[in-house]
Amino acid sequence: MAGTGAGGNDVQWCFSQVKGAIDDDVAEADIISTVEFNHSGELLATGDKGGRVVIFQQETENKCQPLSRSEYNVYSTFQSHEPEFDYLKSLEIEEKINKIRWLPQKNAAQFLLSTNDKTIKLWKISERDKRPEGYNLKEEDGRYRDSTTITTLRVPVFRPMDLMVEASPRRIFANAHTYHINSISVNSDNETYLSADDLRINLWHLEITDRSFNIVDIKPANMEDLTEVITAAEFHPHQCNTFVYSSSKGTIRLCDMRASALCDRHSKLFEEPEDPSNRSFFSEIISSISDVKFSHSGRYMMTRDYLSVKIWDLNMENRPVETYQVHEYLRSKLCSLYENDCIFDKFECCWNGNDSVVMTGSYNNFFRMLDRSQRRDVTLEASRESSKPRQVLKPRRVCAGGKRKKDEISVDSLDFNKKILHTAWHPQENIIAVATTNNLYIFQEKVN
Amino acid sequence: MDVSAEAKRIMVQALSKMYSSRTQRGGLRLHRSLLLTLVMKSAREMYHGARAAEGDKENQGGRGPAASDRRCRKRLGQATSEPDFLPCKKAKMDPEGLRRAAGSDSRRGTALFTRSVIF
Repeated sequence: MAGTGAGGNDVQWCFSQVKGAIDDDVAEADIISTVEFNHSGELLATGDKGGRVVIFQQETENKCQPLSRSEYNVYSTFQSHEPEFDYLKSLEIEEKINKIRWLPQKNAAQFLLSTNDKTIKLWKISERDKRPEGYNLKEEDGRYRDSTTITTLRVPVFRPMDLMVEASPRRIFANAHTYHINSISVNSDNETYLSADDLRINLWHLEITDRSFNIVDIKPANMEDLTEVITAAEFHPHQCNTFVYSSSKGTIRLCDMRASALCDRHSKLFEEPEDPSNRSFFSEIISSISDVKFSHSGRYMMTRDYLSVKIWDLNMENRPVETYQVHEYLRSKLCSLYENDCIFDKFECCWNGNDSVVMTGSYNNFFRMLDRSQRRDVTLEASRESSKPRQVLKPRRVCAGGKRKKDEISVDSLDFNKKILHTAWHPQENIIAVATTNNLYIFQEKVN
Repeated sequence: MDVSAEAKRIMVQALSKMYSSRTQRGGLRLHRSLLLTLVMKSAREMYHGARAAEGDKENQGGRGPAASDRRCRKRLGQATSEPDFLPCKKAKMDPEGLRRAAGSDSRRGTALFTRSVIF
């Protein structure tokens, strides 16, 4: 794989860029709600609460030199979703982009899926760098020529123009979800994808918008018997028949679509027994899984719950093979986090290119790098104070109790309004995108 | 007393969060509502367990079966009266439902609030 792909403590991370407004007064529409690199890493897409998608493109100037600095600049911006109103239920449907997923590139154009709570859209992003000129009947500005002045016939030719990037909606997949969509995942067959809401998972064909197949339905006959909901779902990266979905009870189910049309019965159930010594009022909340991601190899999957990241081997269902505490110092603060609603925050997680390091966010604009191969971890911060060009990020430490050492920050000083919920790792290089509330930070491996 | 007070506070907050989520943009979030219901259930069980334990302590020593019957009736009577942690506006529920909800029937624990959040 190009680049070392390794991260964690062997790699020093430097600030590269920050995108977004500097104001402390954050407009709600600008809050970033999803971040995703495309399959090559050349494009980086963000979605926000205002329903907009912004795509950044990596500069190709020095791509031939793998260790050179490359910057991401705005490539395309478009309004993906608008607020809607469900008149039957008298409910507003938010335009917030919940997820973006890129399709593998097949031709010159790029395609991505974006979704809000109810509707998924397939967008085509294409470049136009030439335009036809020399029409016989029209002027260059589009006005029709006086036919009496036309005395010759010419063939229009394409001439270069300033690059224009166009985004156009090619498919709209609507009216298939009663509950709020939390996940979309493109299948490795490049023809189908799944969408998951709280109680159901649907399988779509990318070309067909007027129907989808329901493949998982956990809605009980009597809603009073509801005990868990689906929180995330993803297709296996290589096996087109396999997908997983996580639940609010902390379980993950792996399903094989070859077994039956309706995959209500799982093929595998991944669950770790709860530690009774950690039982509290909030045990159910903190055990709810907020994200599930397959490793690139397809051998492992990672889950994120409120306090930890777990790595599961698909061949072992009864416990994870690795568990990392993200911010264990918050366990004694769960009551306060419940009061201020932070306990309901849904953190995402991601793998690096060679599956050796995983990353997830925390509070105070901290994010955590967990190096699996070396069993070490580091906490870094995305802040304007550390945003000088090529400034190396210093590890941060949180003091859980007792005497606070120099350079440590105490738990009570953490800013719980500054949370990093969304992160993404370039598929091949050590470049990461970290979303704070309304800013996107890009960090790169230090280049000597 | 501390456990009881904390449980009561958690229940009050859960109710408050559930009511405020009804006016949120995008409508009720099923996942959040379910988690609040589960917290409510845990806290309620803890609250009633703590109250029952206090009641046991007060009635300890020299009391016969008749007294324990009176204690049972007293507890039942308390359960049928309006719990003191409920805000003024509450979901409609018949007296039978209130008695059931105040009991420790864990199977119907989530019914108390999922009924109000079904859509």
